[in-house]
Amino acid sequence: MKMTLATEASSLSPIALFLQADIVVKLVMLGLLAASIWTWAIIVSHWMKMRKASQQSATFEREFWKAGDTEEFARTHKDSEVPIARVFQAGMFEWRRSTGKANIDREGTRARLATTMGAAIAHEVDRLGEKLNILATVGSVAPFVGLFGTVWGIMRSFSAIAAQQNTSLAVVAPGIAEALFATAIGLFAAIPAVIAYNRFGHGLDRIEARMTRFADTFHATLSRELEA
Amino acid sequence: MDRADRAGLGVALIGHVLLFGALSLSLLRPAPKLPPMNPAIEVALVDAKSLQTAAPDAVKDASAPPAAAAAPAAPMAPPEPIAAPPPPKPVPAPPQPKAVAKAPVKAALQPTPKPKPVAAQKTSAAPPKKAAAAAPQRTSRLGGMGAELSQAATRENDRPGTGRGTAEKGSGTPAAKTAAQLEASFIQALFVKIKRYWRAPTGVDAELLRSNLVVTLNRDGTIGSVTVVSQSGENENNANLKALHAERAVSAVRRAAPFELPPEHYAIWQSLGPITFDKRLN
Repeated sequence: MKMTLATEASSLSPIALFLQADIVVKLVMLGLLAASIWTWAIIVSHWMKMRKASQQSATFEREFWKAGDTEEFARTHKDSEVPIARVFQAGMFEWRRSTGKANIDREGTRARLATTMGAAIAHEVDRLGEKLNILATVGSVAPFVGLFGTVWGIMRSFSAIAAQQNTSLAVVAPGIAEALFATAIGLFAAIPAVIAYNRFGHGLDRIEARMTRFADTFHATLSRELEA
Repeated sequence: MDRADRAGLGVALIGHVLLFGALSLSLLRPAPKLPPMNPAIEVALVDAKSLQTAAPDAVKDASAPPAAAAAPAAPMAPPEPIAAPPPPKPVPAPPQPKAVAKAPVKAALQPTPKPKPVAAQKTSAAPPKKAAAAAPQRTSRLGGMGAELSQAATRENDRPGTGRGTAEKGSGTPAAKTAAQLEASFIQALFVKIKRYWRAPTGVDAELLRSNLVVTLNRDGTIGSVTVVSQSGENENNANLKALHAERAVSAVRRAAPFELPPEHYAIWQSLGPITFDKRLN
């Protein structure tokens, strides 16, 4: 196969379409390309993080329910970065603070435990999902940006027609093709972003549900300890 | 930016570079195969109202003349007696020489209607009058025209009422056309070609102008002469466009020439018109 850089207008080569485009359309294309790269960077890194978090959470839960001594377990997992471990650390911290005093307010301790662990869960969910809003933004805005580039390019094509007094397709076609390429890039960036946003939103909900479940169970265990 | 973010950015960058590089190098495009070219088909745009087939319908024509029905023996009679012996002639003398002169041609084309005068004279006294009435009309129109024209004229003559009405009612075949109909269809055929060159002048009330042209044609379809016989639709607004209108009409006809018209009807299209040129030309 011949390895030539296709730069003639008739080919669908992105380079050719980009080089022919107007400066505004070029900027739009570059911006959308950057958005696409950013989107995919977020998709890859978030997917890696979520998979790691989900695996480590499962391992942590299994180990926690197997461990006999909660204090000992807390010491070994003091600096863990696993989200569910942080919820556990927040609960343990509040437990130590509340039960360190001479007379224990049981109701108050239960309420504080629930609040602190709930706050820890919210914090972890925020931390995991901090970049998902970028996906949502790219998914909803990129088509419009691409459309702007297309409209601009088509306006330019029509002014070229007016200037040349020639309506043959050969005059119109390259401008329209290059303009439509802007919408193509916009959709190219937006479609994965929207799909990823929905998938990751669902994955985040599942992680949140798992942490809430763990926190509730842990809270029940600590409540039982209080009564003893 | 932690490790996962860096990994994600690296993967995304490499993926985009690879994809766009592949697209730019035409790796995803198979070598363009040119589709086999179809041989060019020549197409001629013909106006809906242009020439129809004008070939005479032999079967219909043979049975059509009422004279043949009046005399059952007529088809069997050989056509020679008419051409050779002039003696038994009850018909008026003046048109007869012409009929005799044209008889061989006519006989070759149409054997059946020709023996009419003879057969009619043999059978009864009443039919000869009818035949005699038909005969002068036919002979007077015979000069150079197609056989079906004289047929149409005969029928026109045979029936009461207006010529046009009977021609339409009585013909049933496309062949039976009057000279006027043929001329109209030739003019339509001319319009098809002329339309390409006709540009009516534009201006105030220019669309009201009409130029009537008479075109004479040579036998090979070239222009003999084009004359503007009259103009109409003139008012004070478009008076200055009148000359331009006529000039453009004449030049459109000249540029559209030569015309291809059936040579057997040259007598009809030798001189066409007056043809009215208006804005739309139809």
